[in-house]
Amino acid sequence: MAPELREPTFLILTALADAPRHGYGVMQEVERLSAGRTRLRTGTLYAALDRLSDEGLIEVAREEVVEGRLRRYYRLTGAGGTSLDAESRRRMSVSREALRRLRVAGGYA
Amino acid sequence: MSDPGRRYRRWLRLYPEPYRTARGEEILSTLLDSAGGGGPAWRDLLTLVLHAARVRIGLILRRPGRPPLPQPVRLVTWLLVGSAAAAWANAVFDRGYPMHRGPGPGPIVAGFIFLGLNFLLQARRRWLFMLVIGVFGLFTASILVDTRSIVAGLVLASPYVLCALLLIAGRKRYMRAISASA
Repeated sequence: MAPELREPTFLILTALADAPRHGYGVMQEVERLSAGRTRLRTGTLYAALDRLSDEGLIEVAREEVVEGRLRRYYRLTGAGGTSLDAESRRRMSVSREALRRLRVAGGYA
Repeated sequence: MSDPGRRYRRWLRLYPEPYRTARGEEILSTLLDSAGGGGPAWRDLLTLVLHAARVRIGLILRRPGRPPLPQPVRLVTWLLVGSAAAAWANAVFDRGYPMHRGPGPGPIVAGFIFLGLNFLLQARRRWLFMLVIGVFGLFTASILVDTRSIVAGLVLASPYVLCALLLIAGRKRYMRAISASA
C-alpha cells in the first residue's frame, strides 16, 4: 500500500493534477485549494518539489522566461497520478464514513 | 536589478553552488513573485535558510543523481551522525573527574567509529552494509558479556539492537538502491 501523503504534499500534487504549474503558480493554487488555510513559503515549496522529484512523482514539463524571470513548470508523472488517485480515494472513503456515522448519531450532515 | 532582487540573491548564496546554478534563478523568480512589490518576508527567508541547510546536508550525505537510501537506513545514518556529535560534545564539555585531566580518548574514538559506520553505509556496497550490521551485533554481544545480565545488557545495547533491526528492515530496498545507482 502506498504511504499516506501529508497535507501539503497532497495539495501540491492536486495543484498539478490538471495542468503543469510553475513554483509561484503552485503556491497560489495550494492557497486557493485550501481556502487560505495552507500558505506555502518558498523554502518549504522547493523542499517539497525536490522530494517529489526524487520520488518520481513530479517532473519538469517546460521552462520559460517571463519578464526576465525563469519559470520552470512541473507536472505529475504516472506514479504521481497513481499516488494522488490512491490518496484521494482513501480520504474520500474516510470522509464518507465520518458523514455516515454523524448521520447515524443524528443531527449532523 | 530591483532592490528586493538584489537582497534575495544574497540570501541564495546560502545554497551550495551546484544547487544554486540549477535552481537559483527559478527560486529567485518565485521569491520575487510571492513578495509582490514589497521586500523579503521573514518567513520566506526563514524557510529559505532551512531549505539551504537541508540541501547542504543532503549533498554531504548523498551525491546528486543517486536514488535516496530507504527510510530505515537513512534513519540509522542520522542516528550515527547524532551519536558522533553527542560523543564529541561529551569530549568537549565533560572535564572528567577532578583527578583526571579530561574524559580521555573514549568519546573521541567513539565519535569517529559512529561517523565511520555512517560512511560505510553511504558507500553503498553490499558487503560493507553487512559489515555494519555485524558491527552492531558485535557491540551488542560485547555489552551482554560485560553486564553479565541479559536484561540489563539488552537495555544498554538497545540503540545498537534498534540500528541493526532498522538495517535488516531496509535491507532489500537498500540492495535495490545499490543496483539502481550502479
